[in-house]
Amino acid sequence: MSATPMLDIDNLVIRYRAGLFAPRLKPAVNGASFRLVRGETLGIVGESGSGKTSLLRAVLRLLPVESGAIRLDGEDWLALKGDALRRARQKIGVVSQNPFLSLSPRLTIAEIVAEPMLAQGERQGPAMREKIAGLLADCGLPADFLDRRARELSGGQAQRVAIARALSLEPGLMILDEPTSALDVSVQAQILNLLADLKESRGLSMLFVTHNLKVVAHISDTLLVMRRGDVVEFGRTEEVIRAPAEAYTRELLSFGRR
Amino acid sequence: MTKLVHRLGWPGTLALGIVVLFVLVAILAPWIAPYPAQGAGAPNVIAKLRPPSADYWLGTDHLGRDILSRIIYGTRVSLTNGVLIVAFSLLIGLPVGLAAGYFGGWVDEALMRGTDVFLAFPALLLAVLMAAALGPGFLNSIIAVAVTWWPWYARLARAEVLVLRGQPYVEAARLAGVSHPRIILRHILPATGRPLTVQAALDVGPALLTAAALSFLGLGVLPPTADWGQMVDAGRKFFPARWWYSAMPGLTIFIVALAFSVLGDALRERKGGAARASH
Amino acid sequence: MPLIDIRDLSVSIPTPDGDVHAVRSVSLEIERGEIHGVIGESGCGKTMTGMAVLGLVPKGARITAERFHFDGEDLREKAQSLRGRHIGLISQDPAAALNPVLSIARQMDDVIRAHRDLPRKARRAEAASLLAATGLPDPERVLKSYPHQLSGGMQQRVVIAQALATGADFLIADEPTTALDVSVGAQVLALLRRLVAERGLTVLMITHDMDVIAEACDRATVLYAGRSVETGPVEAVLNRPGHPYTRALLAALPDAAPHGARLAAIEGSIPPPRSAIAGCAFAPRCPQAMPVCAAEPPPERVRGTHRWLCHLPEDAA
Repeated sequence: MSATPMLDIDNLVIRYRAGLFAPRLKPAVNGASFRLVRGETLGIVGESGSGKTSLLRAVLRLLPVESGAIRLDGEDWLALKGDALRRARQKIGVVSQNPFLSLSPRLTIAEIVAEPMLAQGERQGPAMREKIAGLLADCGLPADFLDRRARELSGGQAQRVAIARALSLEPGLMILDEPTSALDVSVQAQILNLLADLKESRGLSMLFVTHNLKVVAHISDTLLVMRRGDVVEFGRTEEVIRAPAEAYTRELLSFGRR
Repeated sequence: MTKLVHRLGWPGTLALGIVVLFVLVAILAPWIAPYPAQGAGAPNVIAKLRPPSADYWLGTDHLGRDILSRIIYGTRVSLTNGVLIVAFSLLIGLPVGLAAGYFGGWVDEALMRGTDVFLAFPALLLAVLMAAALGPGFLNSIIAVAVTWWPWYARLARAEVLVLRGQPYVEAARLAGVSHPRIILRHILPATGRPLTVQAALDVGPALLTAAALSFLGLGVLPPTADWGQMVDAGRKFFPARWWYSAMPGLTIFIVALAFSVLGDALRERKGGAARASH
Repeated sequence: MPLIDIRDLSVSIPTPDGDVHAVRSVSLEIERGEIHGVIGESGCGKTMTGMAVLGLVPKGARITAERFHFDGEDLREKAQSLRGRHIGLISQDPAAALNPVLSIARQMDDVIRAHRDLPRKARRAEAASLLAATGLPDPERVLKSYPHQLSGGMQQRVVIAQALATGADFLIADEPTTALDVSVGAQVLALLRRLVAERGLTVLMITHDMDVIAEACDRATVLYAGRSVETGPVEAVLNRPGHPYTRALLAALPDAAPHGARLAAIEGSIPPPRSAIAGCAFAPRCPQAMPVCAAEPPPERVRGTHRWLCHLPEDAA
């Protein structure tokens, strides 16, 4: 295991800008600190208003932070701007909740998966098509999907395409935003298995953000529970599950247990 | 054919038929006009102001020219007018709207306030002022109308882009490091195309009507080129005694403008695209 | 006599490409005072079953059934008049069920007025007491609010209060907690349980979530490809499932496997909704399938009030 963590977040504060004379709002994220060890999965759990989405968007540089630091692979991630940021984005692959919304309805699967590669200047051609077919195969899809369109796929298949696209630039870090929340239980199991396989075979680090504690408790090595902007729980998953520090975590874990 | 009727409905299909007919007439003018030379402007003083008859189906004008031939030749000017006005307007309005909607912030502010300046004037008045300033002529009249037209496309494009910009697949492209121009070309532009083509089809009619109005005011095409608006104006002096001189080109303008408008509505219904209610 | 007594219900929707079999064969018995869960994955027909009970199937849909009774009355004739009087609906999205531009007081009053002849003051008091019954603190303030001023959990309580205001004693709850946070959803389920106990309500709970079944229901029916394949007390269905599909569904849950271990995903996909099915619908995906499964409809296996349809002998389950 390498010494530098994949993602190192230190005392991150995110606050939405209010009007000029409005009183300052309570921060959406109130001083979050954690690190994601290389090759591991960190699960971030929280309900609406917990700040998990703000945190995620800040890591993706879609939202400005008020203070604190984000280091990605040892590099000051918040210092990057413009073209440097655009190029550096290939270190992160992103999969979001609804695959039908995150895949362009106008493009074929091949074009969708090619897009990040083309954006980083790779050349179109048989070699790229070969690579795309390989990515699809790694995600459990046959090559005849290449020329289909997203609307012809089932939810599980579409999410596999989204995962293939996220892998196309061989990122070190995968960010998964509720990747199974729109799927049926049996399909969710397939996708979770796929993610576990990919983590193993490609040595990926993963940030798995969800409202579903049970899903993330299964797949993650470390667990972080957020509530109203605060990190209320952070530790090895087994320990958090065995002895939750917060009544809130216990409540989430006990739901549906008979 | 039945498929077409199913997709456009009867009125839409009929309107499409009329539009296609006029396009064909414009292309084939020299071959189908009964008196091609008169259509192109040659006087024929021995038959001044004749009423409709077997020789001159729609009558003749004050220079004895066959009105049907003049209308057929005028189709070329009117349709080109309408299409070019819309094309020029799209050419200016689309990029402005795309940039304003996509980049937002001060770019949006600056571009849209600039657009508002044009929208603050009544459209026809502005067109007349522009045409008067530029002087009469085919190209000048098109530019004059396009100047009042493009802000609508800018606003429409901007509204479409604002919705698209928030789509997860656009964000996914951004996160994959895709550059702004590429995102606009590949994801934004194709999706804005649909509502904008509907709007453009809807607008050829009114555009042609405005151009005809400029001609009527003597700010359009110069004689002897045949132009419907100009013909209505010229016939005004002989109205109502020689009613056919004004009425025939006027009726033509009415039919064409209506056909484009019905066709535009049919397209909008079919495609379900957003389009503004009125100018 | 059960309150809901459905035997072999089917709902087909004709389309230009052939009939869509939204519901193929669903049997459902719901006793008074129980919360009966109907569980299945997308396309299993659970929502269409609920809509059929409400008489809200799409135009042109064909309903056939051997029995389709609510309180002894035939739902094919009476669904329209029973809806809103004896049968209420709690839908997934409370925000969509409430009118955003009317105050809660106005929306509660509209419902109460439609069902009871009371003076204005009494209606207002009734509205407040119904809101209080759903556990909303400060009902007077809620009455003065508009939907957007309330949280999702509060909105869902208002929707439940509205259903109570109709005097309905049978509620269809279609994924009532899916749009809510887990902790808020748990409170709404607890509220439904309390209302069932206090007011003798009966609830049909439509859900895709096994946790909701475990948390709130007395009995459950599992649907697969438009068919009810298993029904029984929740303890039996969850702990000693009879049908291989129920077992597979439970095994696919992330908390069914040890931490980090592979999950038992169900391979394959559901049969297309337009196709005809000869034998057991689950046969192509079933790990225990035998040749007979694809050919003949499975027989019913019975263990007390726990019943399922399967060719495998009862002791194999």
